[in-house]
Amino acid sequence: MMDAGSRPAESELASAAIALDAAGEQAAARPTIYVYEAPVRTCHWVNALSILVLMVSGYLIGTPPPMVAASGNFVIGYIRFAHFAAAQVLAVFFLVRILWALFGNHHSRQIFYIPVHRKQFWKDVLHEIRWYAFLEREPKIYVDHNPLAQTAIFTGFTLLVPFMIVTGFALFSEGAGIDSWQHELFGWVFALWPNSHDVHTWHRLGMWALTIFLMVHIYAAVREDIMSPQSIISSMISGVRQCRDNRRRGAAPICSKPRRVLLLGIGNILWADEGFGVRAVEEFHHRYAVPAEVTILDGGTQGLQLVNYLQESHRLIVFDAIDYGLEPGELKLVRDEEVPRFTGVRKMSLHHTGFQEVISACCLLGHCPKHLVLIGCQPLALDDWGGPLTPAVRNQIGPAVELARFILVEWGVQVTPRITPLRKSEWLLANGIDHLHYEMRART
Amino acid sequence: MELHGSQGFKPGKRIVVDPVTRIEGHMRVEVNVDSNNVIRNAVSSGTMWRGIEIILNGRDPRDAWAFTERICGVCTGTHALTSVRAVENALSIAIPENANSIRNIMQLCLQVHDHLVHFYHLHALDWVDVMSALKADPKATSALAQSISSWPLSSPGYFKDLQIRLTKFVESGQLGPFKSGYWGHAAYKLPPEANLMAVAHYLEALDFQKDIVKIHAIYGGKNPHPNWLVGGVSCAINVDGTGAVGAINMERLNLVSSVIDRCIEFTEKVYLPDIVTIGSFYKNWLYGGGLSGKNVMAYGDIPENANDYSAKNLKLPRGVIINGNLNEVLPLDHADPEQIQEFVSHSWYKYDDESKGRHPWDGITEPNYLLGPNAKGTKTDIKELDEGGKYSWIKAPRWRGNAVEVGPLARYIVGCAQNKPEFKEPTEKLLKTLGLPATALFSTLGRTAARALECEWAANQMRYFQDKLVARIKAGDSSTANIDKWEPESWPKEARGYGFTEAPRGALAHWIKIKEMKIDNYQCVVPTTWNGSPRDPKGNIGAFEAALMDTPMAAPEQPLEILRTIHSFDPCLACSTHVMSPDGQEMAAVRVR
Repeated sequence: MMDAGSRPAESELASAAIALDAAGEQAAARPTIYVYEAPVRTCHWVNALSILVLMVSGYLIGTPPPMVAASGNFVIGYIRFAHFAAAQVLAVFFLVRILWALFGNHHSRQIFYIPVHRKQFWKDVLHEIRWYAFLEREPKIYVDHNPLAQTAIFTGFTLLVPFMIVTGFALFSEGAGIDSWQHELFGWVFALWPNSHDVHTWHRLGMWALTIFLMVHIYAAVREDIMSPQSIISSMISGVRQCRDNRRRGAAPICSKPRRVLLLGIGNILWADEGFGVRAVEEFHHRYAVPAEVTILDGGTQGLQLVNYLQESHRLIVFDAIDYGLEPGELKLVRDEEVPRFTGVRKMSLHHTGFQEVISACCLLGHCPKHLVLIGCQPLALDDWGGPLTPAVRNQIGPAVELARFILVEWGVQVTPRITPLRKSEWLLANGIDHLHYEMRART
Repeated sequence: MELHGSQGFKPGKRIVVDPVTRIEGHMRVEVNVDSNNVIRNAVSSGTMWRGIEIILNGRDPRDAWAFTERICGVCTGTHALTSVRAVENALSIAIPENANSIRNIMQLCLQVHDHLVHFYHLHALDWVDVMSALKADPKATSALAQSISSWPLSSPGYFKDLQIRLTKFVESGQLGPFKSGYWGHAAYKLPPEANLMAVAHYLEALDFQKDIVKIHAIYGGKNPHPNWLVGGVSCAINVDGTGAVGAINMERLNLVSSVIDRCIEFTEKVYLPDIVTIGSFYKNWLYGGGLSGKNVMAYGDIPENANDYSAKNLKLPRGVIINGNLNEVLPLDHADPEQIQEFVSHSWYKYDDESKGRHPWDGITEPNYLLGPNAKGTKTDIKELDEGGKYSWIKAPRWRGNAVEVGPLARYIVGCAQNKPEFKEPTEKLLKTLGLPATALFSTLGRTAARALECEWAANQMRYFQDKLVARIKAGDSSTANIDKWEPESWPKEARGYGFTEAPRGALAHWIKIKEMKIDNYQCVVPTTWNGSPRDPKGNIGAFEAALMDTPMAAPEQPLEILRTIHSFDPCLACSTHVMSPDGQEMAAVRVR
């Protein structure tokens, strides 16, 4: 199979799927996207710090610690100073953040709205809730905040912080006096709650709401940093979202194109035309380079060991020798629902039971490729142990490979013809069982 | 499946099961039952033909593993290991200790994976009625599960959820792996709750097996079809390297370690308790012993130290027991032309003198497709075989003329006879738990239980060799291959050798002759050749045939008992043989994996 490659040697820029350096070591690519611009990050951390100071100091103002009374003791004074200073910093940076939403990239606007009218949004919210509740196995990939996070930040930050700013400044205006700009701007709050004690109570309730938001926010950020396929915490420092998918060694990062494709050849190369599937996938690999989200796999006669690969794939193309009662060498393309239906009605492949079981095992376990394409070829000879593919079947390898390329292109996968031939270390089959060597000796 | 009258060889109704479902490859079983539906004559035939020797002639011995790895999709690694051992034996190549440890881990990993998959995916359904699980009470299931094991997936909600999923799956009409069962058969004895628990574990095992093979991907470089190397292993060790793909670093070693821990936990908390539970309901069904109480053979495997394949250095037992004499374990020698011989008097091959057997080094494979005089049907559409004539594509290997059984049960019997505590104690403990005498081991159930015991043993041995490997690496030894004799110029003009392993399903050996740097003759004698062998010139029947004898059948037209006993051998016929169908009709019925 092909690993996620990224540092192609200069001569093979166009074609290398596996890039190795001089020592034969391979670097894994992790695509990154610049999401959080500097002002966004600055605002985030300044606001976070301010809110923390505000919460602690505010709590102490509302519930003063027991202390020796009277003069010489200015603790509450300092606490109040900290509270007011942090409040003004928060207010200023909140404004800066709003302004930046007007000038920054589209990610910077995300926390200021909820696309309530989009059905998919709410579906995704539900998915995220299930994901957080450990009811989903696979996370969805978002470059931005996920929909649930967006909703939470919108309510817990974008709505709540202005509320705290308004009520806070209103309370401050009581001390600053009726002619202060604070009273000028926020005095109207007392029109809503004439009793200033009510304003105090609401302001304090707001603090508790913020506390809850903060806990959820930090838990979710840490949790997703660990569990989701993208970086979270470091992104708020570097601004760069890194996509990593470590679920399987050699798996391609799935961020940029989350739709993984598996191109699989199955069959026994030792049984003449039975080897069609494996030879076809081998030929495809020689002809074309594909991006990292496509896995090229020689499945041989493996059964359940293929379950992993199928489960990780969203789309699947299988090359195989099939028995449809056609003329030997005739190609047949079968899609989606037709694949299981035919296997039920008619034994169409020599190892259809084996492969059908792989598919049904995937269904049982709850992860089956959504799109299935079978490219089959009717064999002529199977009992020629160790023999070559018969000419009728061998002539269909080229057309079968082109069919697969056509389907891949239809799926939006970039298929690039190789300019330089593959190095031996990159072959799918080696050690004398590659098509050429296998048949060369078989004929002697 | 068809019902036929007697064809005269033995009295009673003739039952033909073709193909035996849910197993690897294609085989055919014919039995005669008496008026009480007890099996009085059994005939087992592999309808495929073996020919790796033809493919390998003239090729580079260093590539042989890559070809043998393709013989079968289940035993890939074990064939490759046997092949590199045969070449190393022929050319006297010594491998480094680390390579020995890594090979052992890979072989044991295959053992664990195969045993688990075989039991849950193929064999459990001979004991477990999936449809009955739909009627189970989730609460009672939970109570049952919690009473036998501390495995955490055992809440009533878990089983309820699973039952709903299963119901949906069944209602969708897409039975998939459950399609071929004889659901509701009288030979199923488990209560619905035990059935539901077993089905839950079936799915858990299906999910877990994906992780086990990660070990092959790490040490073999890739999976499926891991890489092997004559002279060692193909993976390099580089514990200081960071992020390099291909070399084994600490992260990889830790990943292997965590998979091993989970293997141990799964076998101890799920697989073995399941065997005890199932066994407790089938205590009275102790048929299918066959040859196991008389003749068993184990080659031995898992060398403690590299390059020493003598019995005392092998952690899996080595030796032969003949005529049920457990007091004497006979030594065996793969190179002795008098010991292992293959006969073809009842196989579709030709020897000059078919009354004599041939040692694999001198083996020949020349097809000779002839039906006996009492066979019914035609060559292209056999209705009934004639076991008096040639009737199978499988040769009949014999040890000093004796038919023997190989496999996990054979290994455990030899181990117990040698008084090795690591085999004897768990066996005795299991028998005591079930309240069964030692002779109960010689049965279909015993075969199934021995496989589970061995699975646990193998998982723990993986831990042992992983620790040994890590200790050596920490001590600074990162050597994994010896390439002193890599170049064919350094080889003698002619050489011959053999390699053996204990494949999950039994004793496996390859014999090789090298001439002028090329393969001159290559013969594999695989476990299913031993167990599924036809009669020999003296009329000795093979292990499959012996195991079916005297088994009563509840309903002959639904031969669940035959499947149960044949499955308990974990047969792999695609592995021993090859499709040979003159008109292509049969080919479609063959399952190749």
